Amino acid sequence: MKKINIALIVLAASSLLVSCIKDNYAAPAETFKGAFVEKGTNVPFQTALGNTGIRIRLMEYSWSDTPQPYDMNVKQDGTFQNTKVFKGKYGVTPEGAFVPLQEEVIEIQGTIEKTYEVEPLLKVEWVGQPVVNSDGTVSVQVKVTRGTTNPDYQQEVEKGWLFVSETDYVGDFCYSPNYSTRLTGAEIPLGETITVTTGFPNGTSGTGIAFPNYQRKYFLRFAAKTTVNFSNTERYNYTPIVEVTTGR
Amino acid sequence: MKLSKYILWLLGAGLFVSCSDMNIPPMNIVGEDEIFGSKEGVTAYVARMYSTLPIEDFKYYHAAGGLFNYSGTAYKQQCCLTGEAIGRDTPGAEMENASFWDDPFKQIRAANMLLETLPKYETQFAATDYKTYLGEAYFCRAYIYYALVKRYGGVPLIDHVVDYPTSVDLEGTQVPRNSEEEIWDFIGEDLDKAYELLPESSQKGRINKYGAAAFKSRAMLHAGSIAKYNTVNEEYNGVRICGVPSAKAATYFKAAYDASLLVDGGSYSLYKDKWKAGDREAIAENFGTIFTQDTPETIFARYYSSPNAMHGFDDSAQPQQTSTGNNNSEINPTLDFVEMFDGIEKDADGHLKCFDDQGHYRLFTTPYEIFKDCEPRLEATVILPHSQFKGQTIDLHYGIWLGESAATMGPLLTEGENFSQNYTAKYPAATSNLRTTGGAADMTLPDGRVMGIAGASGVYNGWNFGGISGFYLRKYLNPTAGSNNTGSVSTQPWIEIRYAEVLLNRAEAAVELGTNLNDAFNCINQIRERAGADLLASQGDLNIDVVRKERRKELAFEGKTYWDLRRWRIIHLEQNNTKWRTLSQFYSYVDDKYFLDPKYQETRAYNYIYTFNQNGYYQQIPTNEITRNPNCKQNPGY
Repeated sequence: MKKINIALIVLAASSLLVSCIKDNYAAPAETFKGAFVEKGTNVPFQTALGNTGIRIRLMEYSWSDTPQPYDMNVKQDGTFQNTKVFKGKYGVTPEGAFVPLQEEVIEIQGTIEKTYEVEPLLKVEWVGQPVVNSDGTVSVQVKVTRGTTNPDYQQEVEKGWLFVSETDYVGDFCYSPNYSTRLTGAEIPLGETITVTTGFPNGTSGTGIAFPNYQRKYFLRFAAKTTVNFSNTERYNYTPIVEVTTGR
Repeated sequence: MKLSKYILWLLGAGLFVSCSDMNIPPMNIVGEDEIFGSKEGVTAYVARMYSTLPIEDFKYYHAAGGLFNYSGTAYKQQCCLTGEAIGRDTPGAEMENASFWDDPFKQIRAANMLLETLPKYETQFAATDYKTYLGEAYFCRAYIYYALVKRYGGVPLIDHVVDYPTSVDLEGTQVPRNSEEEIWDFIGEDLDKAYELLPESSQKGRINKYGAAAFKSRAMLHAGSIAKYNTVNEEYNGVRICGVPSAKAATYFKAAYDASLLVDGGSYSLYKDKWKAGDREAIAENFGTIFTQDTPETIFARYYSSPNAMHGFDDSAQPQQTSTGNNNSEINPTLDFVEMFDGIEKDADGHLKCFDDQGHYRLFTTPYEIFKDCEPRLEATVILPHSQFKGQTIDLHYGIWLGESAATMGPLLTEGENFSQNYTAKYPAATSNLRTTGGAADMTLPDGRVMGIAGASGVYNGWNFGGISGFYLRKYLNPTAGSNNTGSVSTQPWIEIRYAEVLLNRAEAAVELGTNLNDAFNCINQIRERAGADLLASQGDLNIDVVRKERRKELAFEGKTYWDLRRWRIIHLEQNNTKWRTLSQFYSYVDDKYFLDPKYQETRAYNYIYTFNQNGYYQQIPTNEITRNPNCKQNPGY
């Protein structure tokens, strides 16, 4: 009797040592990288960090037709790199302030590199260099033109911003609420060079807020958007980042 | 031996006998016939439907999981998301906690259960009771769908009890979203049925037919605004889950207008018992009474009682001075809100006239002086600086100016500084003539008088309690002097819909339609007369902006403005890197008078900059629902 008990206990205990071998999958190791550039010129597509920049939506169709979407975002200069993607078949849809692209099904295995040539809704460019004014503000000149001839995306300009930041991460996701300047659509005539001065976060009336009177670096970027919102999200087209040293 | 055989037979026979009462229903479970077969049972069932109804009342908390019936301290208030007020714990344009889904569908199931089961027991009830219960279920179902559609757009339309696993398999429970239009239409139909079934009058806290009609006017007006102003068009499998065809706008506005007329069949009216023409005090008292006692204006309300069902609104919104403990000062009306009212001196830009024509400060014996002729409704809505509340003068002054006469002085801060800085950045206490404080500390003036640096309710600096806008809320607060407001001790009823809203719905629907404008004109003027505001001179002065402004003034702090701004699709324009304005009151020692300084909200632990993201017009469906139900499409932007 005692022997049987011992045998049973050993049997029961040994079952604890066994487990399913299938539950230990390898970590995701595939790489999906690339860049967004402007069609025709191949200039890097400037954008914001996070969801208000470019969202690349990955739908993994390997197992299901209605998977949970997996979103990734790109860097400010339009490049992206994700080295932790599971191997599989993905429907890839980039979305940003450009003429929409169709979903493309890609088999991600090893390193997949994609260059997306996109047509920005607006083309936003610096004209000349920023100027530090005697009153402590900074003025820049910019020009906004249409980035696409697609007849569906010729909507009017809704608004613009001269974003100012203390770091070189600058855009609608990170800006100084005091030194940045907000413009209405009417203040941004297409194709004309306009002068914008920092320090009007509440619209361009009254006196601007001056930078502190000691020397320091700030980072500026101009952005504009039309009335189009994809996925109900406001996304701007941006200039490259420019650095300015203020101080009187 | 033989005996034992008999005994065996006898025992064997015993096996064939059983107790006839064995087959009884379990005693510990309340069965269907006990609930739906008796008046007590159905009343209890209906009571639960009312108590779980998603009303944005005093216990609604947008940051809490589940949103409703929150029992903790409400640090954030919905009116601080609309520009009506600011609160130190509301740092910006926050969205609701994305968790409102399972509860409403449970409640819809409860309504469907009643609608399907009660007919089996029809003979047990008097005809009017039977119809009332059904009408209440239709009303509740419509109310819950309204709470869903205004947040998410189209949602799954469930008009029957989904009986899993008996009648449907798992896939049968994975219902896709219906179009937003179908949901609005369904709400309208349910409310029509409720109007047909419900009685003329009801017990306190229960709906009657006029309540259903009043609510229909609200819901259909909302639907019409979406059809007219929404720009999101999201389709999934050919179903427009976000947005309504603009061609339906007129249909909905007409439905809203017609429903508002039905309400006039009841005995509801604008409350004017204490109103006296030309008597500012009486008009203000009359308006305040609506929110502290039952009046013929209340159409549908949620009631509270001590000690079991109480809320903490007095605790949250109490002025610093009259707080008896725990929390206070979460609702500070903005200067932007106050400037909407009539009877205040304003400059050419429509702002409060704090400066004379030379740009120097005007001086006042008390900060109240500038408001002395204001519209009485403002007085009843807001505690103005140095006005009376609970038998005390609510002293909201910010600090003391020890420099030259303010009458010879321009603004303390330039426009840019005003937006970007606090006073102390330019006027540090040690080296300037401006004294401000982080607490209610006293100082000795040069002439020996001792005075609080800030008023007893005007503690503005630091991470501190106090009237951070220069105003406090009065509407809905218990006005009884000395009353306790520590924690959840309040029992004022929440008025979910009152007759004034019905008139405003009617006016708005009429102006949107461009018909019955004379009726709209009369509605607005009835409201204005009761409020003591300036009357509209002629029908020509009537336009949609006039109607909207009237609505924002009349229904302020009643949980309505937030949804109004959203359905008009203007909240993202109003809140675009926006700081709200406050009114700082300073005592000038040289002048022995006060001067007033309009100031953008100061930065504390937060910047208090408001930007409403457009994807907020359709809120995020909880992600666990998207995971569970592969047919449920998420809203755009998430």
